[in-house]
Amino acid sequence: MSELLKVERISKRFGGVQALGEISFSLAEHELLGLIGPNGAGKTTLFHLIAGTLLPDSGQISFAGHDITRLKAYQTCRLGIARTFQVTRPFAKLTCLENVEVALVGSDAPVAREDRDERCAELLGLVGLKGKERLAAAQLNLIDKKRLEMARALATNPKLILLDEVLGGLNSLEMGQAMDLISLINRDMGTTVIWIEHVMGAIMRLSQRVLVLDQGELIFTGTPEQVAQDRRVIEAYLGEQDA
Amino acid sequence: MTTRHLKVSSGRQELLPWLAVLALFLTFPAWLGEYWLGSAIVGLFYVMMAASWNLLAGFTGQVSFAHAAFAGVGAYTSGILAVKLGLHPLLGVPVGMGIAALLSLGLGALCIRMGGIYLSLTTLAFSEILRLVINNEYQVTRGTMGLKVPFILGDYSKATAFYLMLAAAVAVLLIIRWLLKSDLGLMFRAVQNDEVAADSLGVPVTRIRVTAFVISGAMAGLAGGLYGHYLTLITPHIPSLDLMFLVLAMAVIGGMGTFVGPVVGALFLEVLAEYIRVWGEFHVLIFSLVALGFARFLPGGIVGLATAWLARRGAPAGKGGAA
Repeated sequence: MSELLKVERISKRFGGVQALGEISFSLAEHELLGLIGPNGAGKTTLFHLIAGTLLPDSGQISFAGHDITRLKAYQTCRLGIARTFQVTRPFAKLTCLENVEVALVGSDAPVAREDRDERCAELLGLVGLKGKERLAAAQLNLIDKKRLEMARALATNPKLILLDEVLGGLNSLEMGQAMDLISLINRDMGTTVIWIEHVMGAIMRLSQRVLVLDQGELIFTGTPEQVAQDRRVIEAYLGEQDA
Repeated sequence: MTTRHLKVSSGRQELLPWLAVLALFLTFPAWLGEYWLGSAIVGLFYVMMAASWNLLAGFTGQVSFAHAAFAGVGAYTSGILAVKLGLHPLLGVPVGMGIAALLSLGLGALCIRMGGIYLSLTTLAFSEILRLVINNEYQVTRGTMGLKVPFILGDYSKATAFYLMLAAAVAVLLIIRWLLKSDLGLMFRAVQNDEVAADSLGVPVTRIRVTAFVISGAMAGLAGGLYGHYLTLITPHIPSLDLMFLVLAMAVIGGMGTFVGPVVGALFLEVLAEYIRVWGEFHVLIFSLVALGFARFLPGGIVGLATAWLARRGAPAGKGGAA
């Protein structure tokens, strides 16, 4: 498997807080990488840096042969990096269909104008929003907003998709559906995935490899089985939970 | 599948009222009388101003205070070219429009990256700078005395001015309507709704905003140029904040973020202004207060009120939705 993403010694500081310090890892094509860590560990910041929503203070990120360290989010998107937001960001006044359409148009996805509505409807169907195409995104409940995030991200035709806590707030049935979808994206569509999640069972089941962040440091990398047994990880997690 | 875009209503039956209004307007010179024909011309100027400001503020969320200033740029450019070089106003107006677009591009590239309140403040400053320059460069602009310029086309005739203004207003509205239905219009609305999300989906937010700013500025330049050559006296009133706030009030009272709103607001306030003319400049103050009230309690404006009322009355008839 060839390397798709390479993150080298990137760091980010917010005022006096070191959000991320010298993080390095790489990601193979078609991999599903779980990203876990306690609250405030820097997981979402890492996504912001990869996607270009924020710029790193130092270090380098390369993606599919391009240096993307200083690229803006819209540029990384066009290279094939899509993301969802932990706190959903729908275009509230646009319909679900239009929300997805923005992603198709914005990312220059190779879809002919006359096929667009069909493609949008297809993606909405895929994430479970069939029949809600004409609803304004503001009218959706939280779960559907998360689904819309997925549909939009997929519409950009990504090589790498960054999922930020897509299971939060879902019941077990919905969680199962979301996991099926993630599995479909990764295994059937062949899209590489980095997935931030707090639901351990889910992430352990689907990830091939897991990175553990704690207070801006990468404290462990390994398979789900190894992670579950690692002392530092258990301390970082259980220590936090017991406190 | 008629309601593809929520706020930009489409469909052939929507066209009929517009054609009816246009037909009515076309008959104005025949019966309206000189005084009210003058009001109609001014009203059309405000329609262009409010509609193009709304394209920027209502559809991309950028509150610019330089809109009247760009109208002034259009007017003074064309006026000065006519006075100093004898350029025909019909050629001068497009040049003025071009200069307004260029200045919009410069100002937009400078301050749109900062966004939000900084855009508002920078455009406000630009507006004041322009006013000071016009007031002080007496040799070129005739300052507060005003610049005497030739009439727009041929001998002075309100009917000519009216038809030209009407043609320009229709063109501006058609372009705005087409834009809102285009991919660019979709990007405008995405950026207004959530620029971080738009950015993450491949939308070049800054470029989209600058584009809206330039288009809107060019339209203001066109409106200002035509208006100036109708008045035949270009004064600092065109690029004034008075006029700016009047345009703002028109868009807000009519209904910001809707296509029809600014048109309704502009015509309504212009007619109203004629009736309360005796109060002098107080009418701007009153309109501003009313606009504040609308912004706070009825953000949909008159059009929002009317739509809600129609929806309540027409709900059983099943208009809208999936037709």
